[in-house]
Amino acid sequence: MSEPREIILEGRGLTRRYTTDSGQTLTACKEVDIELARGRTLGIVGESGCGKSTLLRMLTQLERPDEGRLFFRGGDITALKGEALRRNRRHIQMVFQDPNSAFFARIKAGRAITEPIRNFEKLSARQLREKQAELLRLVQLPEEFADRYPHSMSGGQRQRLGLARALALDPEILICDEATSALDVSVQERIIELLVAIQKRRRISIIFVCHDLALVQSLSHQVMVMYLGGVVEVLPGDEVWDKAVHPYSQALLHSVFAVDMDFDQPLNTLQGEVPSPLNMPRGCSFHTRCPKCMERCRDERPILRRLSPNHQVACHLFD
Amino acid sequence: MLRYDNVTVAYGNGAPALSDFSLEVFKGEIVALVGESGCGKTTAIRAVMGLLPGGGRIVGGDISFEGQSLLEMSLTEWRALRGGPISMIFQDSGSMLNPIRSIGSQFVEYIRAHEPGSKKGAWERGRTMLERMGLPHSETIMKSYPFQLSGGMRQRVGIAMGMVFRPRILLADEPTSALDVTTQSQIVRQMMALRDEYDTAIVLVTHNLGMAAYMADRIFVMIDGKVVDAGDREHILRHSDAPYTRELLEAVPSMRGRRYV
Repeated sequence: MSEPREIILEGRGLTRRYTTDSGQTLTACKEVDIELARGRTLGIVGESGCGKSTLLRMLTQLERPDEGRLFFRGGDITALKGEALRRNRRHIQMVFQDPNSAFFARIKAGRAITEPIRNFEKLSARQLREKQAELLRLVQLPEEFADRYPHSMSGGQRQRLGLARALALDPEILICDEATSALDVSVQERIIELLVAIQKRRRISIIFVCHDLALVQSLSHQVMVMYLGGVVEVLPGDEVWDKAVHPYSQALLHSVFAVDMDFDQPLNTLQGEVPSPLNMPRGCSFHTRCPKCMERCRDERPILRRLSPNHQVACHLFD
Repeated sequence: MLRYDNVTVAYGNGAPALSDFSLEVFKGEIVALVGESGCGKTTAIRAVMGLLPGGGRIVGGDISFEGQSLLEMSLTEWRALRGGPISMIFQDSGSMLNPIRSIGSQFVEYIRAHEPGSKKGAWERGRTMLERMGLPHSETIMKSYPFQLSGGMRQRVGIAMGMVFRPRILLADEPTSALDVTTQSQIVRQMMALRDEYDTAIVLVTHNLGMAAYMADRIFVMIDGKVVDAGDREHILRHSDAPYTRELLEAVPSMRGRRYV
């Protein structure tokens, strides 16, 4: 918290639009600013269609933003292409949501997790075997698993395998896209513990995308709340419960069914559905559902403002 | 109303997916079955509907509805119950709908299968039910195809279909798991309103302990096909000494709970 940390990945004004078959423009991400500090976890929450997947595709450079820049360790990597782009990929690796479909069924676990290394380095068979064993140990799987097929493992074991594969190249940034959403809570808990332990040991930076606000805040240093392609609030994970102020963050907080919730309080009052990104509302993107909507919100899009060094919010209520 | 007496269900020759399961559901009551994958919670409600997937069968015990054994019923009698007094909503109602037919045509077919009448009357009845579920533009929705609706809207269509004959008992299999949290709480409010309005009993199957605690009068915690703990919210959340319940509670992430960093 105190000493300024090195920003390892930074996005400025990232915008991505798609053109639909009928010629309409769909704005999936609009002017997103994002900062990831070394050795820290940034959690991203939001509901379907909020643009989190598109944002990840830009951060992993599977897609290029239409506007905005992306910086890695201070250098602009937005326009990288060809071999330079490929070389850069080893620093940012990904863990996927569905461990069942993330592995090719006919490749054994050991080969699958060392596959990324083969793309970047020339290692002898013996070195690869050593690396295999080391990775399996790292994710706390028995070394014999190298010779098994992914389908013979449980969901939790397969997700460990997914983690092992993502760590194979010793990346600086790990991107977890709903990485525990398909798992039971007890299995999820153990995967999170493992992830946090690995982060401490290797000083890895993590972006953890998840729809479960309770989970995200429990493992993130900073949490970013997204709605309809934009960032509405950014604040430290341990302040989410007490200090989140954006009406949408508030609605999320009061929609979560938790075992320690206040059962006498009425459930959230948000009505209706997220508007279509094909037809973005003017002004604040949340104004159509916001219980505190004012005249100004209908016309003017709020920008992110700092409430405190670590807390930013995009809402006219806090100007 | 609905009663399970020592029901055992097995798939093939393996260990039973549900063993010696007993439960009585009363009028207007919400009962939740909670547990992790493979604990038998879905099997328990699917058995009532005769919807056990491949090779599953009831090998012991009995299920009865209002005193009448479902297992001794003729197929015609059982069919009359299902979709009428007993109905079910699924985790993903969208995939239970025919993708190449409009919502309206399927809704009308369903209504007329149970209560013969005019198409126009059935259409109107379906449309009104959609409106009750908080779906605006119900006429447009009746004319839409499933893929044109959002997940939350499709789920509401599923609930509207499940509720159209005012069932005495509603079996809900993870009814909100596929939905976003703000939509989730809308659906939960609607289900609870149905109970208050029609006195419908609900058997809710969920992995979400918080939701079970919010909705249910009684909660059953299950593991490996067996009930290991049962009680009201207060008991399960605060006073339970069943080790599995405690473990489960600890593993559920919560806003004011354990922090990892």
